[in-house]
Amino acid sequence: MKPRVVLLVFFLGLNLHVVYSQKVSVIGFDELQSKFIRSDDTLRIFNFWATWCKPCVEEMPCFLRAAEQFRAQKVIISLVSLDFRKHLESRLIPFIQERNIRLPVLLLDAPDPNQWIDKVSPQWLGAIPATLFIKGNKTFFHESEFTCEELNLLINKYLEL
Amino acid sequence: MKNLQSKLSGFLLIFSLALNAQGLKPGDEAPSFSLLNVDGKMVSLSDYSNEKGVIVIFTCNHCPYSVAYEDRIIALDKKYKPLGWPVVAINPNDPALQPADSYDKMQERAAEKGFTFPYLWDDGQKVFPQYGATRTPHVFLLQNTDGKFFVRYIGAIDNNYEDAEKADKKYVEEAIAALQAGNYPSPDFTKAIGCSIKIKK
Repeated sequence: MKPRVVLLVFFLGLNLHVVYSQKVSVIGFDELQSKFIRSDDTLRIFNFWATWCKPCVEEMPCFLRAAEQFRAQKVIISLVSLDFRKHLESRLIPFIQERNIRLPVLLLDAPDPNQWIDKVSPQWLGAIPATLFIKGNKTFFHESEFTCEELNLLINKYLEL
Repeated sequence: MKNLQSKLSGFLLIFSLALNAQGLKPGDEAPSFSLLNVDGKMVSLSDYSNEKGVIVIFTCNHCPYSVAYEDRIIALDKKYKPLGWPVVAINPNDPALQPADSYDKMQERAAEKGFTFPYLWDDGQKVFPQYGATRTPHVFLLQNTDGKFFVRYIGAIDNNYEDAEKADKKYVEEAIAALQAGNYPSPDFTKAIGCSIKIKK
């Protein structure tokens, strides 16, 4: 009996690890942009962050909580990491594991931001955290840190549009 | 009522978030400053009135993008100071919010890396808002015309933050080359990802 349990735990552990590593997709900007879908009425939220960005890390629990809170509604939250590509294994994956982040994380591997910042939003000056909201043909962009209350307020507001 | 209230505060939130985009544009005259350097002395923009210009860079200790650019900033200073375009680095962060960016830590970092340029502390955070710096690193290339400094380029140092070798557009170097040749730089404004400046609330 006992060895089986150990084996089971071993496989579960293995599975968990695989799931976590799959959760980070390393993508270029074109692939990110292909996720800016406007053809339905789902509210898509893209939070631009990095593990080293203090205010980003502070507001992250709000995004995790919002994902739970709005689970029954048409809301998709994606976390777009601007960590350096070379820090994927050493920083980003451990961060996601430690904090038990269950939202999709996209590592944007596009180190020439001048090529794509304006395509996210012409308003964006380049600081993070920054968050893009897309709902149908409407786009909203905020280059600032949110409290959970502010974030929920915006989600509610944009959902009603 | 509650709904109205939430709508109203939502509007106010969005309104207040939209108010942050101010500052200098290419062509504007740059405001002067006088700030404490890591060597304990004050440095002013007017100290450079015999130079062709100044490469003002808002940067700091803690930000990985700033760290990734440190060697490139040193290289810029070494190359362009003899040509009349020295670097002046300014740390805009509030050390109460980011202890790694305190004056002591600035002194440490400048010594460790052997900064060849002044590394100034924007004590009280009065200078960076006048320039409109929003992130670190953030470059303002100033040209001296009869003792007045005019902004000629705002933005990134080059187009690859992760790898200097892969940067094929060196914006600051190209901007200086244009000015040396008597032209205005193109582009005169670029965007870049950086760490937001930590502002005392």
